[in-house]
Amino acid sequence: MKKKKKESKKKQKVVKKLVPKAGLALKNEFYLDASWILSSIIESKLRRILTLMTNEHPGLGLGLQKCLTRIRLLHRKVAHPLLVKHFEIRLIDEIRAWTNHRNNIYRDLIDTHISLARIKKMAEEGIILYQELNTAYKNFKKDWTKDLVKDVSSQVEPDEKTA
Amino acid sequence: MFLPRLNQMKRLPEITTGDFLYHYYQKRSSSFLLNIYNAGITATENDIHKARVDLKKLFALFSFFEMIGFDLSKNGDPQEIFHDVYIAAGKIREIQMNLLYIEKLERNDPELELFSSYLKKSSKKRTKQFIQSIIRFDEKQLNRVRGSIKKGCRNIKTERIIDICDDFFQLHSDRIKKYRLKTTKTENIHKIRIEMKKISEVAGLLKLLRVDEFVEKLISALNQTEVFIGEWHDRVVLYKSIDSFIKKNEKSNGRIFMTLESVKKDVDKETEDLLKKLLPESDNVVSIIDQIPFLKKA
Repeated sequence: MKKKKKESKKKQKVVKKLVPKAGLALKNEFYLDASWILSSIIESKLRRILTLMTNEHPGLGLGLQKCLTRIRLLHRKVAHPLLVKHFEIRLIDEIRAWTNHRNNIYRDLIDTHISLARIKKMAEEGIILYQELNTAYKNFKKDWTKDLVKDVSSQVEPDEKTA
Repeated sequence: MFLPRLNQMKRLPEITTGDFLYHYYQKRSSSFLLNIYNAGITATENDIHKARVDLKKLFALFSFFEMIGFDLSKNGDPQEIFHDVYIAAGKIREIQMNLLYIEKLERNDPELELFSSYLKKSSKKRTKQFIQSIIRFDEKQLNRVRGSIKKGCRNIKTERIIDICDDFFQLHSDRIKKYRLKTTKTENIHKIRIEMKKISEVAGLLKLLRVDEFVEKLISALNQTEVFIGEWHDRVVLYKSIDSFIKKNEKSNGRIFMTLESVKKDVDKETEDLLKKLLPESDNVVSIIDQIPFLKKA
């Protein structure tokens, strides 16, 4: 049991540690590295959303693209009203487009010269997308915990009445 | 049994006041760097606020160190290094505070929605500027400043720091008195706020060096005043922002904003109320500084 607790704490810390690292990479104009770190932060955020939605951890095998597809599917099915409320399809599609764009740049890097301005633009777009996702996630979590509290209090009240 | 072993053990070097002062500065500057890297990515109000608080504390420490006699302006004013970052972060913070106020109103009004979407749009623009300012921020210059602080901290004694604290409090409380005597213009209150922040940071440093009931009293009075001044400043910024938004739209579209005008009036009223509360509080801080026993050296 103790081991499990430690693991979950570590996982939370990883995201917290990654954010300043992405910032440091950005500051030193390592835009490729910054975008790489950003995508792993976005991925972990999406995984958390999936964990909350499906009540089980999606596993490490699920990459960023797969996470996006699954969230899009849940969104279409209206699996949860809060998911539809806070995460716009537009945002999910924009993140998907960004990852595709990033992958294309990585592929092109092998054959051709990519201008710094293009890589910089990609990193900046990633930051803005992450910020949007982060605020959406925060609002989603707020409403999620509110709902949880409501559910718990509604379960407790009838018991008290019978007592 | 254990005594000889204890004697064999190497004794840790004693921490001098200079070391303490240097590490205090280092803690602040590294916390600023961490927060700025965080804020560059997240741009959340919390991270930006933390980075700005650290910066204000660093500014206070710089003026304190200069009073001690450290040669910080050898390579130019140390505050200039942070200028762009500070301004860019401040603008985002102002937008975020305005958005928070509008959200708290919980009104579904098209005018308010238009205003908040305008704020969100400008926030995106400012975030890009903030990222640029972080990229431009020169850490080498910060390292140079750190070097001269390290040099200055070598032979400093606690008594000297307390003496300088004495002068520092007196100087800044005199400035507050001066601004207080002038008209209650926004600029003057803002200057009082800056002076208070400086006193607050140095009082925090002094508290770590010497436990004193007067210093604690001063810190609690400062905290209370800073809360009021902070709220007052947020209202002033919101008022200006609504005003410029209305003027801009009236010129281009000729549209009249009834709800925003009423919100503006409310904000103005709140500003006046807060001003009435904060002025006696700032007087209280000045009177506490006058009362502190070690300040009366005569």
